[in-house]
Amino acid sequence: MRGFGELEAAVMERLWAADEALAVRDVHTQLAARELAYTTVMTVMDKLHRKGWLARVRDGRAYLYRPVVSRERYTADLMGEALSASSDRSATLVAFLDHLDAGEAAELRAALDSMAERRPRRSTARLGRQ
Amino acid sequence: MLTAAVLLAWCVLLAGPLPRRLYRASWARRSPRLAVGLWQALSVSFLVTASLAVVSVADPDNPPPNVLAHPMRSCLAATRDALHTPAGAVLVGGAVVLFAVLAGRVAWYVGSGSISAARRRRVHGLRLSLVARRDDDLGALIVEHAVPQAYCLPGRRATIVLTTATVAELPEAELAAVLAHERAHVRARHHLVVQAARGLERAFPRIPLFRYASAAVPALVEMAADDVAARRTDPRRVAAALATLSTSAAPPVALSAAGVETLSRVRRLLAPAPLGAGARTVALAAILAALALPLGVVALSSWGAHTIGACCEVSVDSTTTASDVSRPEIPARIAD
Repeated sequence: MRGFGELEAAVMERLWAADEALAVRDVHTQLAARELAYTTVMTVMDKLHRKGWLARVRDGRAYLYRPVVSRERYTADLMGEALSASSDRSATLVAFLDHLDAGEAAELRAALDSMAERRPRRSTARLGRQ
Repeated sequence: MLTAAVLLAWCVLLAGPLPRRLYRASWARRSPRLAVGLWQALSVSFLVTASLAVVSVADPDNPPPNVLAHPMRSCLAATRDALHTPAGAVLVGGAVVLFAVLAGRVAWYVGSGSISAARRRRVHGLRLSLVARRDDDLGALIVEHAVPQAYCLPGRRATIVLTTATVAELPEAELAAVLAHERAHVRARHHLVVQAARGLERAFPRIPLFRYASAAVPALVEMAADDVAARRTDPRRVAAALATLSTSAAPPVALSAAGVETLSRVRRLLAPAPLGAGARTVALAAILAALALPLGVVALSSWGAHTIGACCEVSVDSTTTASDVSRPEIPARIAD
């Protein structure tokens, strides 16, 4: 399984960000800053369709593409795989945390509060989307 | 035969009683690296001892020192001798089969486990590439997700993965502690240690030693990474990071009952009680002893055989039979 190229990721981002199915022309316009050939975008979207990431429907002469799985669902499945792999017997990933019940959480909060100084949280503005 | 008996006795001790003691020992949490080393030493010792025991049972008249010195010659000689008697043939044949099975299982289960783990990691990494962004300041991949998570993908091209929730909820210093923890896993190649333990458990599921090791090692490895992170940053920061991530309000993903481990890790960081130098020396000595014991027994039996003047120097040739080998050589003068 080959990885997702940077271009494939960009195309998926556009489709995930859109509310509706998009044609190659729409995506090409949205990625205008990259100065790509129309055929390049068409090839990438066709490849993503063949890989099963995009569904398409004929609309006149062109196709309208939409993602098969939402971004949130895709990410959630991926993170779930990371977490479950660490708890099953054939782990490949090492997760940092486990989840606790109410009593244990209370005990941890007490331990946290006993710490002298805690700096404020890092602002989320730091994480700009690219 | 005494050699075989001692080796088998050590095997039996290693299979169950010793691991049970180690699993319940409280000192292990105080020095997780030494504890992992001891688990590995016990596992290797068991495999080496079992192999030597198989060899010495199959060929009691040809003690292991001879076998180790001239494995091919003694193997062929033993086989040749054994063919003289049906019982001998069964014994030697059985030993060869048993040894092959032992070695084969280890190679297969540890090897195939590692290969499939590497493949899973690669696929996961590829899937990540669609949604993850590299943050060069943190030196990690960031994934947009509401559940705080932090993990590493070990291996040759190791990466650390954080969710946006993690970066949002942790103060700068605690984030640094998380990264230090994951980097410790990568640097120490903990994934190989865990894979080896799990592979051995799959290879020999009926041997309690490998079950205990497989259960103990992953938890110890987490504590060892905690310790590294605590040294690089601060133990309270690591504890705080663990606590923050664990008590996040995001809906938890269903997991096995591992919450207790997080709690004990936090307690351990807040009230550290490292082993003193004396205890550490004892632990190190135990590791070395476990590794040296099988070879020591073999060396001792060789020394014993030399002292008694028995068969060690007798070369096995086609004119002697199995029963002849154990008779001491009679000096020519007296034989006249």
